[in-house]
Amino acid sequence: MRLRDRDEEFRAFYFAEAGRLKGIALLMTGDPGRAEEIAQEALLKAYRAWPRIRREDPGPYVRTALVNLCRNEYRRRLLEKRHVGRESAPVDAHDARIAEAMRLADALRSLPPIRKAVIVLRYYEDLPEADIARILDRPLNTVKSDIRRALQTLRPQLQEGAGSR
Amino acid sequence: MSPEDRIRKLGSAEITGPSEAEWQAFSETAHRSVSRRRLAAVAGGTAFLLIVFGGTYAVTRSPDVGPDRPEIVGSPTPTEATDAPPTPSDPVEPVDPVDREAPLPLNQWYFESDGTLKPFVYFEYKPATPRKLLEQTIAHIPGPLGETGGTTAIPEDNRLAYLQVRDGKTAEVVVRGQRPSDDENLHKAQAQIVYTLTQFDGIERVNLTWEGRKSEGLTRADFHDLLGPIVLEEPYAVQEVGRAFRLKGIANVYEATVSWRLTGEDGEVFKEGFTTATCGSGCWGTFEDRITLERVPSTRIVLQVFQESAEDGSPMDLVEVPLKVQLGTD
Repeated sequence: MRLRDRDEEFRAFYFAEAGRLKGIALLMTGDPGRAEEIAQEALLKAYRAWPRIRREDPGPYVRTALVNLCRNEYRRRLLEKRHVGRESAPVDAHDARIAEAMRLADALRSLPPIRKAVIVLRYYEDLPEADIARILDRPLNTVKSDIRRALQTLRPQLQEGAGSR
Repeated sequence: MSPEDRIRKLGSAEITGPSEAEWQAFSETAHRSVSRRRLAAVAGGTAFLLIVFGGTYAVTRSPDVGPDRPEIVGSPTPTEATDAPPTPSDPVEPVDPVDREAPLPLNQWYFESDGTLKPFVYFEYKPATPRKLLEQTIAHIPGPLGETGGTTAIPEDNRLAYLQVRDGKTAEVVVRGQRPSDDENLHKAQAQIVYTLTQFDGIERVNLTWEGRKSEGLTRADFHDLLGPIVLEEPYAVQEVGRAFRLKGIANVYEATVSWRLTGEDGEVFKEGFTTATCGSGCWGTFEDRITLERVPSTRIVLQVFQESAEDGSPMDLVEVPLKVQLGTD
């Protein structure tokens, strides 16, 4: 497949998905800068794989890549924190939507990365549980229990915080 | 509002998509990435043919592939297909120059108390890549073995957003955060970035975008005003040296002559010599020499690097580093 043809096809996918992918990455990492980079990296993987994935729905593919990248980022940060004991700097979010995403990301920090991914795909992306199970390569019942347990953890933090804002 | 409703509301809000310029930048990066993979695939195919048809002939590895390059780590991602020609085995993804490990020692560049730019050895050995080193320098993280003692002109809360080497010589750098507000500190902060990157082979100049403003073609020469007359890059203080070690640095000295001598713990000189910088007497040059030790008075010695005064031959602009000697090694 020639690059020019690939560009023509991929362009529409890029414009449709880039913003959403950035949103998922922001909720999972809590870092707007890194979220943008991770979203770009996931799109780059999709671009490279385009000749194979273009005939199917490339959405799940790019989301799997994105979640894996976010999990790598989580491990990297954990290692860095262990070595130097530094947290990433707080971000001054002027945009109300980004500010809300940062608040949610902060609460999501209490979850292990896989449950974070399940919650973000279920509610932010509004994906059915079966699709999430496929994207994360996880049994359906495990995804259901992940959602239940994650909500149990999040509820006290987010409902308590909601009243004060 | 329940957590799920809050997340759902965020997800259903209208999202601003990327701009045309962002697409153009993405498309450019994507093209480069695909081209690199195609090259790797061709290299892999060639190696396979050599193995199959070349009998016992030795196969020379492409410099970009092979087990002596750092492993790309990370959790599994979906299998990626390329439209490259079919190969007998999956090609190894070539390592980007900015993620390629370099020989040690490496330096981070900070400011000494007298305001001069100086190398501070970087102790975190893995991975010793341009990206890692620059990330740590911008974040003012000297590595786990201790503080550098140097100061930084890069304001807090900056981070490396993008690093790529173009045309094999120019590093494209994007730093996210607030750049120094005054020209003097901006100049100093740029110097730290440029000196850190240009110690790696294959990086000669830097295009730096910071807070949306781009400075193009920055080289070491743009920041010579921040250096002392002699800057010693190797060896570093308390380095353990063997029977032979390298002396390396930058200098602007009279007649380009850089002198050195070694003293024992008692201060007695037991070996001396000189080397020539690539330029001198008003211009900056690099110097390099190899010092061989036949005997040493003690296991702790001091290396002194200096220029001789044109008037009386006395040492000027002296730089001293203590060294540990282990003569059993090379």
